Amino acid sequence: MLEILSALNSPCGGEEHIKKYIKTKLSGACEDSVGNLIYRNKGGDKKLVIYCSLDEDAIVVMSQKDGKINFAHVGDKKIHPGDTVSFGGYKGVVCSDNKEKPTEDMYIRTVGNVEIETASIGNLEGEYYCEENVVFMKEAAARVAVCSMIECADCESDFDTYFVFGVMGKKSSRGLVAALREIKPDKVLLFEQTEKENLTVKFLATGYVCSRELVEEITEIEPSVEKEVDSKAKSAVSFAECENAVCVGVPVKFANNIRQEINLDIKDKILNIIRKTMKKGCE
Amino acid sequence: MDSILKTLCNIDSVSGRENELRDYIIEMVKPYADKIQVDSIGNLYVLKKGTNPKKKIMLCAHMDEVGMIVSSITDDGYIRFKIIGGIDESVLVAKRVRIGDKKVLGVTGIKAVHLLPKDKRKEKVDYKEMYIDIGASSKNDAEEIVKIGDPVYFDTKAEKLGELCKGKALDDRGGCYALMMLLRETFENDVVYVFTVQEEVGLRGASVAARFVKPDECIVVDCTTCLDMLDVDESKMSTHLGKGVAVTVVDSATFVNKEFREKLVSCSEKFQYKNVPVGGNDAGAVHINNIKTASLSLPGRYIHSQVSLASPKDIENLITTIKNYLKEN
Repeated sequence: MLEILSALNSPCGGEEHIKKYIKTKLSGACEDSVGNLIYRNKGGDKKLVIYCSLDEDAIVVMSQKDGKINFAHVGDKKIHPGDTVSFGGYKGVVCSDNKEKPTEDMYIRTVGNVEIETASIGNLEGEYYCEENVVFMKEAAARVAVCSMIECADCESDFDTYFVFGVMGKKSSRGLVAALREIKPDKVLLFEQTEKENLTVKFLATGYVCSRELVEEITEIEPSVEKEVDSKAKSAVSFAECENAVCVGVPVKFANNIRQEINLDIKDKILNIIRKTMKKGCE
Repeated sequence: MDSILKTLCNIDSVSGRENELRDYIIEMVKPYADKIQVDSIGNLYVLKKGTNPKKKIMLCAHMDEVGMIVSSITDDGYIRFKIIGGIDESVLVAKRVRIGDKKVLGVTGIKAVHLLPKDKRKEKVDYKEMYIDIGASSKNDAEEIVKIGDPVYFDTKAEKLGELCKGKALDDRGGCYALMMLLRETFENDVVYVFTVQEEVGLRGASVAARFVKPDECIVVDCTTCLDMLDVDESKMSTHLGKGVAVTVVDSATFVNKEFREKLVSCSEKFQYKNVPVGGNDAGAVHINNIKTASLSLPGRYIHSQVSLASPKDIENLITTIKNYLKEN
């Protein structure tokens, strides 16, 4: 499933393909007004949201002239001349004429100088590669979280659980905010990447402090989880607008690159956290 | 230049002080409205019921403009100020302004360049070194007509400039004007016309309005940057005057729903995409309330300064695009 998810392009604002695939796995999943894909497992009365984002960095065609495409980049990955971009069936390469500062004044040239329609949304290319239990892929943390959420979606739950596969994660987690304002959950469990070596629970990030109880809950479920304290780190959880929100960091290497490295041993721990959180009762 | 647009541009309405403009809009839209309401933050809601409503559509334009606020008065009667909204400080020097309800006239000033040390002359202007001269000779004199907290507006006359409209705050009087024209028609669906407040200081009115109205969809109507001027690289020109309504794909606050955007484009006789993903508007505050939202803008040169320019053809195009959408959907 992970390899399929990796092959499905899902740039911010153009997540249709990956949503379509998830719907084949979770029939009954539907989209809200901003495009989040939500699957509901109606267990108990109190609402639990389990969230991860679906989108990857987007390349938006702004204008083009003489074969040069002027683009906007939405996301957090570093782009360099030589990176490959895909617009549906068309490929392009990021270029720059600025020899001193090549990452400034970048543009895209398509293969065969094919013209791409303005406002088209493309994505950066990054192939999937697996060796033993180590995988190189785009949005590694989020994709592993998506896989885990799909596998747990129909598990027994003491909560009215909403699995939110969010859009616009790269745009200050707009999809997350929209979903939470609609659902108004009692508790939120989010997954995102961390640069630490182990699974973490984010105790402190920019604009966010997690309650001790929630941190203890996660460390009780999965003792190997490390407490991550970084007041300068950005985290989607700071947008959660919910007191009972906790963020689990999924460890990856090369977090700012188009492809990250992830050890799949982590997946069992993520599954454990999701299943036990769903069964944690309405405390 | 249309007289309503002229009046809209001439009325003073800095963020947090939108009452005068709101009163004018209420007066003008009363004959066409089914219901008018003002909320506690100052947003104006005008409901126009549909003939056979299946959904509730919100159209949104902001009433406020960028400006300044009096922060202190010197012993010599000069006025110090702070900026409201995003203004490039270099456009503030040597400008005519009006202060407060009494519309006290003043001129912005700064230390003359020949009095500055040579190394300081090329530095960026800092508004903290500026002041407003109202011709007072003492603090007491000044305090008789100006108070701390008084809003400060650019003193600009709205008029035609060649083929274009010139005025203060076409951002977003152009949008307000479009909504007022659309209000004269009845459509199939219920339409709530929302004139928001405090957009320039953080999309505050729209954030409240979205949760109050809870529409099925929303079109934000604003005025956006237009950099089709001398010495600007074409790749940096966000929009062009006269090339139609500007459709946002992505900006700093929003990634517009693709399907909705494409539907709006199909309703437009002349459109352009906003080429540079900078800036943001009320759409940023509306869509995170789980509301399908799109943004249509009027291209405007020199916005967020004393004077801005827009094309009457673009205004017409903006109104027609929305009208076609409301008729067909």
